[in-house]
Amino acid sequence: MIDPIETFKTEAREHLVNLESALLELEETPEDRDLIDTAFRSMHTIKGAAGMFGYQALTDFTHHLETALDKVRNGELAISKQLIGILLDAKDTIGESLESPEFDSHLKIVTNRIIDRLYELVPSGAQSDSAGDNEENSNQHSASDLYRIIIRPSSTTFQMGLDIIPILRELNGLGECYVTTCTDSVANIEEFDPQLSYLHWDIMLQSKEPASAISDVFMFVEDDWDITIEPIDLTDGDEESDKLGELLVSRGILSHSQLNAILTQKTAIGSQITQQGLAPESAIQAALNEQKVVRSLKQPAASQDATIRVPSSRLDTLMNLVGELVIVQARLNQYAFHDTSEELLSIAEELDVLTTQMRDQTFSIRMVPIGSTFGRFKRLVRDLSNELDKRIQLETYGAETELDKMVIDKLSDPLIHLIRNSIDHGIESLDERIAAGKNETGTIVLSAEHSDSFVVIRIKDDGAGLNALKIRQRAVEKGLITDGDDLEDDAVNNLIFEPGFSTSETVSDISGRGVGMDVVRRSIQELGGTINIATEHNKGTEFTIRLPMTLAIIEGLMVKVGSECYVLPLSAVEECIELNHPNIGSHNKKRIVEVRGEQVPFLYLREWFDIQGEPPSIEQIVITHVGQEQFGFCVDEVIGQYQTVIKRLGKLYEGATGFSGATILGDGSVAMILDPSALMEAVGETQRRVKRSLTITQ
Amino acid sequence: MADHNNEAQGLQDDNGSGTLQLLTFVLDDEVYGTDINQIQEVLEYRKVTRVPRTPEYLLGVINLRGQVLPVVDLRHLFDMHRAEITVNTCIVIVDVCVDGENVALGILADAVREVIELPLGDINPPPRIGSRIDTKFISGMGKYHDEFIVILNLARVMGDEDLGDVYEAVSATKDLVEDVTESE
Repeated sequence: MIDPIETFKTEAREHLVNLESALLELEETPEDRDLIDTAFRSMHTIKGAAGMFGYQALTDFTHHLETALDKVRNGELAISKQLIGILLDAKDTIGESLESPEFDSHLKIVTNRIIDRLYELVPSGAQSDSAGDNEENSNQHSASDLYRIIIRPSSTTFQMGLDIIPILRELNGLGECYVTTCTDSVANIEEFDPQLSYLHWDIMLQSKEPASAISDVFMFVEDDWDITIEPIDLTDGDEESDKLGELLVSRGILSHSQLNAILTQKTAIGSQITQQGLAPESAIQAALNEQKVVRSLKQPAASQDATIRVPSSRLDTLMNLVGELVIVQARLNQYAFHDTSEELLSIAEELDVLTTQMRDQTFSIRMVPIGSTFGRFKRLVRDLSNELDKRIQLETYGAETELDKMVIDKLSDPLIHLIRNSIDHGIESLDERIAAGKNETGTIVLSAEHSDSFVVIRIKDDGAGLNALKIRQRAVEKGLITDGDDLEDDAVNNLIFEPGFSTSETVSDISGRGVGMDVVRRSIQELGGTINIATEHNKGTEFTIRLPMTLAIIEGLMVKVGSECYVLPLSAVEECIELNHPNIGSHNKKRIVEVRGEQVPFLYLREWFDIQGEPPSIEQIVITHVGQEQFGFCVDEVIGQYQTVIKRLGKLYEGATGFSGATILGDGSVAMILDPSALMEAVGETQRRVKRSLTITQ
Repeated sequence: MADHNNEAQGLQDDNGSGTLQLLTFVLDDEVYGTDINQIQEVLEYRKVTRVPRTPEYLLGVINLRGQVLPVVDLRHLFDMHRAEITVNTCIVIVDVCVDGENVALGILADAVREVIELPLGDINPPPRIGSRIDTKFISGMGKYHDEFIVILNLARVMGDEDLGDVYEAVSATKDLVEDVTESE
């Protein structure tokens, strides 16, 4: 059982997030009614819920804010920067107070101050509170109404040259229209007069237009046609009201006593009524239509509640169990494959399909759109740019990109840091921008997208770009490099990720302590991701973060070197080829294999991992791609595809490079999961070091 | 030295009584002990998967009911020579606090002896000289049935700053040395 107070707090936090994002957008588009309504509703809900739990202080506080928002809604108060600022502060205070909804003295003082500031802006006292509630009620109802319309044209209607089709068409234009044509009064063929109309129509209309608009449709005909328009109440909450019998009664086709008599018999009510000749079949058909529409309209209201709240610890447990299941499955597969029993093999295969589906489903539960964190960044940009007196706008793309919840949680701090850096160091001050001939308003673009099994997040500013010279100087000062070091630009830029590095002359509140970028890089590496910088002088800087979509299970390719198994992420593998001439001189560190005319460097794993023993006569090279580049791994044997549950290596192995974790094999032993990009980097790094030391020794 | 006294004080509080329960194990013919509260379990030796290009005192990882745990060879840390794996070889799983984080890890022991109870008063501070291992790793010295027992401070051993630096040195210098000599 989840504590209702906890639920209140969680929900209140969600409302606060909605409120914040609405307020921030309102600052840009002050006229947007929807946003005002969203903000008002959030505040209203928090107030109501707080009242329900007896948090008087919180209720009073939100009441004042609600009043202000209500005035905005009624157009009595214009949205201004100050107002948004006050409301944002208030939002923060509410967030703070959720920890202890009974205000302590600090909160009392803070809330008082906010209310004072608020009433400096708001013209008169809090009078119109009840009006707000009423209006909300009336708003709810006008959403979309259902009408039952019965049209009985006079029998001479065709002779008068009136046609039903245009009317039906016009009704259709008003909203969703469900038409039943009732033919029960059609005369026998002998008596049939082709010049007379025998039909009538039963129409369900779902429309946002007022009832008067509907009667306008019949303006020209209503004198001699028999027309009834009745609104249908969807909110009566009476479960019986959408049963066929009740519908027929409300349509005046049956009386209550007739219905009760029929209900005592058990067969389908519709056919009963026709059989007994109580109502023509078409009348029942029309009623059934109504039933369908009414039910379908009642449904969405219910299905909105179909999401449930689950503590994430339970999801974690589920995830772990699925992980274990996958391991056992792998074991079963291995066993069944070597066993002679066909039956066992087919069971294992069937189970494998189920396990895979279950794994994917469990993952999808944990996937959350990244946009949920974007709101926070908008606030960050707003507050910081005000503080630093810069004009900055944040553009976000790909908010719907989904990522593992755990990754998103761990990602938000590094992202905040990067955005702070862009605001503080990247975007220049107003004067500098004007001098450089740039738009006064700086832009930071935050985007997320899927690419292969990775999610790529980019943070791009149109600021000054990294200053390679400054970075160099600083790095020399800090002893990270020596003056004589010959570094390429990329290597220089990457120095900002070194611990203790900062080029900012002054330590500000925002950044410049030099603890930032190395922490950013480390947290991203912990998530199994990479971060890269691209920068251009005066054009801006772009950080690219590549993250695996999930942290728990990947498809892998199992390979063997000596007696050890290793797993490569299958998503990175392009192909496997045989190594034709294995006797490439061992002095030649730069190993290249030619794949269809392309020169691909490769790493001899046996040597790199220092594995003893003789290599087999034919070795395999697994070609992987790391970003745009190709890179090969020379192994003894390629074993095959393997569902890999990733286990972290833990604290003691923090410094081990080239592995994204370990996995447990079918026989219970452990295999390392290789990280191609980290290995490639490590090899490159070593080569550079060797080159440097060679020049020294010579 | 004040540190060690505090340590002993802490242990006393945990136990309530004035005794300390230790699991004793053998490393290179010497008896070591560690607080029983830190011990998760004792396993028979099983194959350890080596993590390439990591310091030698880290033997590798094992699978303990679905968890991947590192195994540490204390012999290597204490500059003893490496022993053969025998039927007596065990892996002791311990919980150690490293840099404020609880880490479960395995310790390779030549043999595990028993659980003993020592009165705290009988535990002496580590000797300044004459000990085979660095005294900073030792909480104290106990005596049980005429045998000296070195009581280890595992948190200190694992959290040792020098260990962290070993990493870079290992991965960087190894190839460097090889390559430079090769190319000459």
